[in-house]
Amino acid sequence: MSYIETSSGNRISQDAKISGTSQISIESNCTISHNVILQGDTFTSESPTIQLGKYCYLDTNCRITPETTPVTIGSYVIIGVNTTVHSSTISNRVIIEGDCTIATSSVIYDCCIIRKGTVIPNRLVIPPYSEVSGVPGKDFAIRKLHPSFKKLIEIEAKQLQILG
Amino acid sequence: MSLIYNDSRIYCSDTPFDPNNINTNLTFPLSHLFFCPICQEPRATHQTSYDIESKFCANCLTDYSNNKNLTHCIKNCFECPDCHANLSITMTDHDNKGKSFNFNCVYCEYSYVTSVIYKPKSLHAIVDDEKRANPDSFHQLCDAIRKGVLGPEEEKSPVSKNIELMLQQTRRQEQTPTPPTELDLTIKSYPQARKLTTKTSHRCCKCHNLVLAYANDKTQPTINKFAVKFSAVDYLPTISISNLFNGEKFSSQVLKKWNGTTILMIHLINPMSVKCTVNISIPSSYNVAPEVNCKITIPLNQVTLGPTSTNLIKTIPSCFLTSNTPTGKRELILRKGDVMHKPPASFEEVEENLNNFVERGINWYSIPVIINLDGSNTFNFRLPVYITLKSELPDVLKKIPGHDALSVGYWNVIDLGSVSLV
Repeated sequence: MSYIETSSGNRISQDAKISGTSQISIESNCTISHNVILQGDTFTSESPTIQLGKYCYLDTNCRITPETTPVTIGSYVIIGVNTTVHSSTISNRVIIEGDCTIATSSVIYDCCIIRKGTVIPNRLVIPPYSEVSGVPGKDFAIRKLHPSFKKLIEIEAKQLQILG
Repeated sequence: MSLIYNDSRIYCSDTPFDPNNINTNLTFPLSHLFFCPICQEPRATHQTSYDIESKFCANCLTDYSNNKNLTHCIKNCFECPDCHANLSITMTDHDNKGKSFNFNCVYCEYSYVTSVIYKPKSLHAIVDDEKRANPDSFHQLCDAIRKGVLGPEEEKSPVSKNIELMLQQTRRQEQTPTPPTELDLTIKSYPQARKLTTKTSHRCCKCHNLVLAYANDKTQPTINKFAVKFSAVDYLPTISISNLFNGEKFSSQVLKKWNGTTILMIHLINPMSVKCTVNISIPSSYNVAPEVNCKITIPLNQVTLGPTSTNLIKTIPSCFLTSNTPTGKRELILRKGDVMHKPPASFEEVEENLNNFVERGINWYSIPVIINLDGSNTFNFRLPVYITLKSELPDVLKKIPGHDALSVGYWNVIDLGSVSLV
């Protein structure tokens, strides 16, 4: 259960499976937990195929696999256990809880919470300050999120970086 | 320690709070509340009135703020009527320059093909025309009701006419009952236009003071800048509960087996840049559940919390610190010293020297509470705490006339989850 720590404050588990490292850009203070899969070599591109902002927390067994477009993840983003991300853009201050699937070309704007087990279909755009839950066709719902979550998500991401 | 995943909720209602019968529908997490600076009270969304300031389609980012009657996007943003995923639209050419459009859901198997059109029309007009030309039973009833209301005859009131129409429809359905599968086939689902996203300003219902307003920035609709924002998380202390010693994680989701008496830790964290005095009042005894009596002992009723700091780790109570990261471990050693390596104190030891287990930090206090439960039952345990907060006015509130100091009183309900007495 050991981590490699970089000078910019990133913590990367030795069990994480990272491929195509030249195509992955990680800003600072990010945590990549055990068994996280980052596939930066699914296609070649001049710009990085996976980009992580600062204070991102990738929990155990989560997987980031760009399919056709690069995956850009903003700052203060928390991605939960067993979540798979193929989406193109995740903005700043987003919490994606465990067991979620974020499909290709979907866009998640600022200050969103994606609840446990949610499936976000292809090309869906989640507006800012939204709480998303459920599976399309069953119980999929997008609700408004209170503006105070902007501060709370940022604190949550920073705390996770400190507390692990 | 999480401010988002917190089991503490605040009671927001005009009806008086009853600790013996807590109405959970009127308790809200701190993160979901506004704070009215005039009334100096937390306000739930239902205690505010709202105005739509702007609206836009999140898919194509078109601003519809000037079109008051629109609720759906009028461009080519369609969603599946079954699963709300996006629809991909393709065009097929036909003879005599005719065209038809295919809508396919990107997630489920839904698809819809329009009839062949020969004159240019918007996709919305095409779908609307087809809806009107081939209405299903539901839309037929809607049309009949619309005609009933707008019809010229004045003998009966529109309401009684509509009731009559609905009763006729119900009678018809009762007389010829159709199996549900057949009924489903008759309902034709059309592509739906995407709903617009709104930005709303909120006002306190009591004093009509603005508690949330967006800045008038129309450069990009997805950017949210606030001109006025009074959130409860910025003024009221965060109250959370944990086990007495760190290491064991407290969860309200897990069934707890207690043998009558237990000791927990209540944490109070000040979010403001000024110090505040917090008074905690817990009902000394109340009925938690039928045939279960509860007695609570707290060693300290009034605490003074210092102003918050930009150094985040100093604002985290010791009970929540972990040794998972070098920063966390360093802070834990700094605060606990060699106590960290000693076995935890016994229950009797804590009970006798309760005051010694009170911990304080830069903007927080951790207070142990002894909970005595009498009965034999499994129940959902909610701990009501009355909080009185007094402080100087923070800089943001100084601009608002009417008050010289901040003084708030409210009920906070801490959900401890299911408890089984053994």
